[in-house]
Amino acid sequence: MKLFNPAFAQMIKQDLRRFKQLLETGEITTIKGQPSGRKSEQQSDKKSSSNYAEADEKHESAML
Amino acid sequence: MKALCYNGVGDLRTEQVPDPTILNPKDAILRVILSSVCGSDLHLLNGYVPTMREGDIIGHEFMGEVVETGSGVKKLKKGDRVVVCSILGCGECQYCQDTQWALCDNSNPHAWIPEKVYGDLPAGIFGYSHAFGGYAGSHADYIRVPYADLGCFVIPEGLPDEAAVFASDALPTGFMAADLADIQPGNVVAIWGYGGVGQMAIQRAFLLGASRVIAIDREPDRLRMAKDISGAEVLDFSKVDVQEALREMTGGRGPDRCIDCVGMEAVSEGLVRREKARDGAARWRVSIRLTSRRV
Ligand SMILES: NC(=O)c1ccc[n+]([C@@H]2O[C@H](COP(=O)([O-])OP(=O)(O)OC[C@H]3O[C@@H](n4cnc5c(N)ncnc54)[C@H](O)[C@@H]3O)[C@@H](O)[C@H]2O)c1
Ligand SMILES: [Zn+2]
Ligand SMILES: [Zn+2]
Repeated sequence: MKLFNPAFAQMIKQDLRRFKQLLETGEITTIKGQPSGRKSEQQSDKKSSSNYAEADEKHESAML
Repeated sequence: MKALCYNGVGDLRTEQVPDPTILNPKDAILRVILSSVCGSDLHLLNGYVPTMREGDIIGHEFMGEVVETGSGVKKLKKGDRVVVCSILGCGECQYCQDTQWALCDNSNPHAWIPEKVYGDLPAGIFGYSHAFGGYAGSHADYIRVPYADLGCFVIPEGLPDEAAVFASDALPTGFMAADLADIQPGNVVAIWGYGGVGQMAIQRAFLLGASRVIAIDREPDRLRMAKDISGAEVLDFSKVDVQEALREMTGGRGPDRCIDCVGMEAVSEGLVRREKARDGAARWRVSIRLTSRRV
């Protein structure tokens, strides 16, 4: 595990940000599951509503 | 539900999309009653705002009726008629506590995008690209509003929908523009652009004691409204030389304060004038000069 890998630093930052959101507001801000005109997202509401959300998700799962 | 989706530069389509649902405890779902077109929607339409994606629902200036509330919503109730702030604030972070809501550092789920580009992050905004959170916008039948107790303002009875919707975006924008201009009682104020923002700036200018407001636009309907409803004097920039006309109207002095409520999509007639040079070639001359001591 390379602690100084910039991508890794970014992931930690994302997680800290989420932790701060949870502490301060009691919830983690999200758009996952909201509507859009993208047909691929309309099949199932479990799918990410954007590839940015997917990227957020990757940042998250890398830490789990 | 039906929603207006961005599909690329100059390409908006009304599409059938799923209804929004509560995603977080502090969310509410609104039935949109009015959603107005902001001048900033043009930036999306014209491709000036990066991180827009095909299928994004746009719209950020709206009012509606609360139809559902999350378990964490304490003040709002089903049936409330509310106007909603375009920009999302959590109410808890240091910026929100400081009343600098537009800097909220909790409300943007994609904070890392602007952080990478600008080194810092703005708050989330409804329907305004993924850099501003990617929130679905209000040009739709229904909309999800996060931190609903904070962003939704119950509209007093008797105030019509058409009046209240301004409070979402155009009112605070125009209001603050006039505040920042530091208008003093008796000032003559010139305001470029008579959209929602210009209209609100005029109201604020008069409240601050401006003796005269001169509104500049070229749309006949807007100029008529500026005169009849806002009580401004008007200039049609497609017909007169604004610079000269302003001087003429102010005894050669020029207005005391100038406010730009046009923005990025300014049409060039008012800014650039073509004139014949001595050699007969047409040249473009930028005819904006400072006409006031403070701009
Ligand atoms: N919070 C914010 O920062 C915020 C909020 C709302 C709007 N805005 C910005 O404010 C601007 C105005 O918004 P709006 O909703 O009133 O837009 P609008 O499009 O309704 O109004 C703009 C007006 O300017 C006029 N105009 C164009 N070129 C001109 C020129 N050269 N001289 C004089 N008038 C000219 C147009 O005819 C039009 O009537 C936009 O750029 C928008 O992006 C910012
Ligand atoms: Zn706007
Ligand atoms: Zn905040």
